[in-house]
Amino acid sequence: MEWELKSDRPIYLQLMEQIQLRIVSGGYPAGSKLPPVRDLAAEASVNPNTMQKALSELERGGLIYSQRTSGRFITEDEGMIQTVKIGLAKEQIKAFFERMQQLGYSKEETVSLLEQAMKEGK
Amino acid sequence: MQPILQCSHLSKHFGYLRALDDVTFSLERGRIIGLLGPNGSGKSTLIKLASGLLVPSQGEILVDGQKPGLETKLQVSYLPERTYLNNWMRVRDMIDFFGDFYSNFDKAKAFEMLRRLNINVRDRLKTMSKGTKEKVQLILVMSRNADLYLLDEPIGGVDPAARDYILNTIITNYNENASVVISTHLIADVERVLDDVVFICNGKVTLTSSVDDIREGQGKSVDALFREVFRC
Amino acid sequence: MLRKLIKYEFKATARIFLPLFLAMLFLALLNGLFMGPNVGGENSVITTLRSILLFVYIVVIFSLFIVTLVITIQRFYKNLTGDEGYLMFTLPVKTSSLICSKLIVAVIWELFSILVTLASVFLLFLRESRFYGEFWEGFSRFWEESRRLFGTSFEAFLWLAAASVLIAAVVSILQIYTAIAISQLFREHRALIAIGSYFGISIVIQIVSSMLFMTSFLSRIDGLVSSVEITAEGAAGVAPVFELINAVMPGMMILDAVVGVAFFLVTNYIFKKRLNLE
Repeated sequence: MEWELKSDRPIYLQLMEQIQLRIVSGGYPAGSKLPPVRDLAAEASVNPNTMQKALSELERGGLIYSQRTSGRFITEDEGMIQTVKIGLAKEQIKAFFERMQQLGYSKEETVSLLEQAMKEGK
Repeated sequence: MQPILQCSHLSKHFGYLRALDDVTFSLERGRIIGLLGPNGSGKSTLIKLASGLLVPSQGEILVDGQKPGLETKLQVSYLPERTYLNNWMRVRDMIDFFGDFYSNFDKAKAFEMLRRLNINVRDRLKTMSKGTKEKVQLILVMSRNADLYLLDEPIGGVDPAARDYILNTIITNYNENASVVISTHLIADVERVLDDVVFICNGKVTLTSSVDDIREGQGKSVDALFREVFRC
Repeated sequence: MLRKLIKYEFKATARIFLPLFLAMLFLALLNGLFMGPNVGGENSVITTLRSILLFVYIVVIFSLFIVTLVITIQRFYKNLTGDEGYLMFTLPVKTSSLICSKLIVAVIWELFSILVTLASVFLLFLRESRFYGEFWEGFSRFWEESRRLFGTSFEAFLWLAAASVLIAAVVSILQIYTAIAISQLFREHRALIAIGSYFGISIVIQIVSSMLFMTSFLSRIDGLVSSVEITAEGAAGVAPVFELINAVMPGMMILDAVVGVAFFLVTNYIFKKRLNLE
């Protein structure tokens, strides 16, 4: 997965989102160890300070925890990861509905269009 | 903690030209700072004052609380716009030279970085392309465990691949106690790696801010803000 | 740090001087081999070769002294005021150490150039081994005769002469450095200004020293000369000639040294406080 960053929003927010995405999609499995800040920063071509900030924010949310000596780990709490995953999915759906609304579709119309698309897709 | 760089009412005149005019600001440790301004705005003058190549006309500049001199020259690692490598030397000679004069030069680090770029340390600098020489110079500068790195236009006129290499080298090689000052007018290229910015125009500092404050407070990129502030 | 600077200065210059020295000694050796009385006889090829070799040897001698001057200028101008200056002036070393390292190395190469040239002349007489004996004999006779005639003042004169040559060499190099430093105070035409300043300084020194000579030395010399005339009638002969020279020389040397110190201070001040690399 590539890191995609835009310059008009704080970088650490975008890093947080993308790390979350990696966690819920299994790119960083539950309970696994995260690479060191420096390596992550180099991989994303960002300032280590910024990566540090993103990780600390995620730590505060509990998705990541750190052990003094051995580094940072993804939480082992599958339930929490699931919650985050559902949260992210809901955000996506909300954004999708908003865009459809801009095109002039109501929620019901959108759902029926979705069902139609799924049938055609089979 | 003491600021790593502190300017108070700093001015530098060349004859009638006011290259820097009553500049006051300070930079913290552990940050990557963009010194941003159009060409001829005074960026290089400021960096030369900090590295001890110029002496202020008025006011004061302090590196870690000290006036530029023998002590601060050991703390400051400076990358000028020009290539200053001795053409008759081999890369290895240059490394020995740095090792001899700078007690904080990490030879092993320099060798490792050169190896990754497939640069042979037995090659003569004379035979190298301009781009390769610039990389060698950056490696020498970043292989020092300095407190303040002053990089004057490190990405001016290089191709995108070289630019990525340079920025990566910078962010992976400075330590948490050190600060890096990158002067440039190519803001879009560097803004991802910056913590803070200093805008400089006609010898005056017009803005000092953290990059996140600009993005959050104004909802725009540093590049966009720069274009607004310095619109002609 | 001065020692390290000197080490690198030698490294930077030895790669030019050592091959030149070797070439000169080698050419002298070749000349020596061909110059013997019985080599080749009337063979015209050998004769031509012989004159070519001699010509090349003389060219190398001249070029050595031109190169010495050029390198002295170039090492200072390019290494300190050109792009390399960005490296040299950000090293954690004193400005005075930078100047001293260049100066010391330049003087040493100048002395070596003279010594190697003299040594090469000896090689020319390789086939006439008699020459060395005769030279030594003549030299010892000259030495003893001089000492007998002039007494210890002759020895003192030699020491003073050596010292004043050394001082003159140092001061002449410092004059070049000062001219280059002055040119750095200007933003354009720096090379031209450096050359102009060099001649400007020379003229000023000429005027000042001749004025000093007129006012102070002449009076003293009158006294000394009259004392020479009186003693010249005695058995000591011309010995006081050297006493006279020995009396004047330290004054000249001190004057030279003062000028040298002034050059050094000006150069150091400009590089420390007024430096503005291109």
